Amino acid sequence: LDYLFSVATVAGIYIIMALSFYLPFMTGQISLGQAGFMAVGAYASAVCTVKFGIPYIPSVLIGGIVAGIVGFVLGVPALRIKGIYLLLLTLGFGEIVRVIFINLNYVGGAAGFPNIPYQQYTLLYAYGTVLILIIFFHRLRKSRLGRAFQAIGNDEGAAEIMGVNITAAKLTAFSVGAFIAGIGGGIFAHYQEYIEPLMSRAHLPARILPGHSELEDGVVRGPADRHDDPPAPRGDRAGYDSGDQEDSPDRPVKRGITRSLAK
Amino acid sequence: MVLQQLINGLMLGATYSLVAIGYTLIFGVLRLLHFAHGEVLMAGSFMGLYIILWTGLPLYITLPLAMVVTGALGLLIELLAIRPIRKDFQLAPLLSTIGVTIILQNLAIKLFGGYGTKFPDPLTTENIRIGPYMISSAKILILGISLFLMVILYFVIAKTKVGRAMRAVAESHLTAGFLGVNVDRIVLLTFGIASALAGAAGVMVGISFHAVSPFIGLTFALKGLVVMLLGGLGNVVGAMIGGLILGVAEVISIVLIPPEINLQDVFSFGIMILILIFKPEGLFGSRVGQG
Repeated sequence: LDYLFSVATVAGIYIIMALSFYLPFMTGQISLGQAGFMAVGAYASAVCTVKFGIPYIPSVLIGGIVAGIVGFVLGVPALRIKGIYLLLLTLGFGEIVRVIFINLNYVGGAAGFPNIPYQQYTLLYAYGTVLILIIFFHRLRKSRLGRAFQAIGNDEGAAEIMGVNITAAKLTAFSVGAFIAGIGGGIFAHYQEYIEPLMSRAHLPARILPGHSELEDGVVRGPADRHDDPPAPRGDRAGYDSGDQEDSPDRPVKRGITRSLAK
Repeated sequence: MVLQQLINGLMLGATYSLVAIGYTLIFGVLRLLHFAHGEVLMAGSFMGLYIILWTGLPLYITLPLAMVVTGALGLLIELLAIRPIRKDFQLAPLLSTIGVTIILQNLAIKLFGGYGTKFPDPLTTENIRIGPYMISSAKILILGISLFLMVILYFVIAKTKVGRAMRAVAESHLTAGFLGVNVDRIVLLTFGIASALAGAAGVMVGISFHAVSPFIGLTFALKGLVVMLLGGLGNVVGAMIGGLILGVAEVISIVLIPPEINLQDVFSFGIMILILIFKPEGLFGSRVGQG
């Protein structure tokens, strides 16, 4: 049962990540930098709990906010570019985050940041967050902002003609997406008790793209449906099957051949 | 000192160029970012390693062999992971190449272990003395081979029928098809050439860094992407020159920035972000398809 819980917990965190990817995606921005934001959030919240002794919930929130701010900063140049260029920009961002954390001795450098207090009820927190996010997305869909997002995603020019403030909407989507990723990172950090710079590596996004999700170790395949019609949030994860999730702090050896072709 | 660093930079840059050329060829033909390219390089590196270890063949046989193997790997990737889903929406092939990345990396870990392996020295490296400078002959050789491959590639693209077909496909799949070009075969061929170049780059990475690990792929993949941007998407000559520029710039940045800070990578990605923001067409223009 323990095992099942750990799988479910990590799955929950990845659902959060998938949702964080989905928000900028609504406005047509494809971000491969979500893992970078996740790392920022994880480090920020870990610093809060370890170095300043701030309790769990505020520090996770702080992690999210820090990631959101970074997302805002990155979102400004991201406004100017789109498509494949944006993809490259966010990819490069993830890589820069990694190098910066490697060079920051304050957070352990390349060896990683150990001894983060373990949050026993991570499962509840993770799925609580997921629940909140699902409600949020549900409400968003009908709100003014959500409609603006969708309009931009469908056709930016048309949306602008209709009077949507594209700059504000895209920036909001990008930084809120980063915020969600930061929250996910914070939860993740307090579950793993250990984080390393490598977590911002680029391949993580592959695991959280809608309909394409899997765990760090082993195989969990999200149903690869609804590629063209971006999924309702909860559709993301229905039906992952199993995965062997192993907590080895100094792993770089991932086991299992991961099959994750997009179709 | 300066000359030595220049040679180091050019050597590093030549490897980047080979990777970036592969990217840019594939991008030109398919408008696709081929994420698994770095892993193909890693595979080439291991191929070179094991060919040398097991058979003790000299470099001038090992290198072409490794290129053939990685070329075949490239064909396989195209056939299995890209052709079946090419018509889907823009993101799908991209995701599938990321999937290939994960497969290849884990395969390599399974086969070769997660730790680095020492790369044997296939060359009797003597240091050449030019005036007061010492330059290892391996570096000169690597530089020479890379430049040689690039020149050959340039002539293939600019002069031969296949090259013309590749340029036509890069312009437009539909039109090229109407004009009697077998588009599928050209795409396949492009993958083969690009992957073979990556394999050559892999062997040279092995020689120059004396070590191979399953994780080298991503580093070089990302550098290759930076170079591709620097040179302009789909611009082969741009990729060649861009690689050399990045290599030299990186080496110079190592010399100038104090060694405690390992900011080499930030430097190159900083370049990338600046280019993305201010000059997305690259230094040499994004003349997709032009030789």
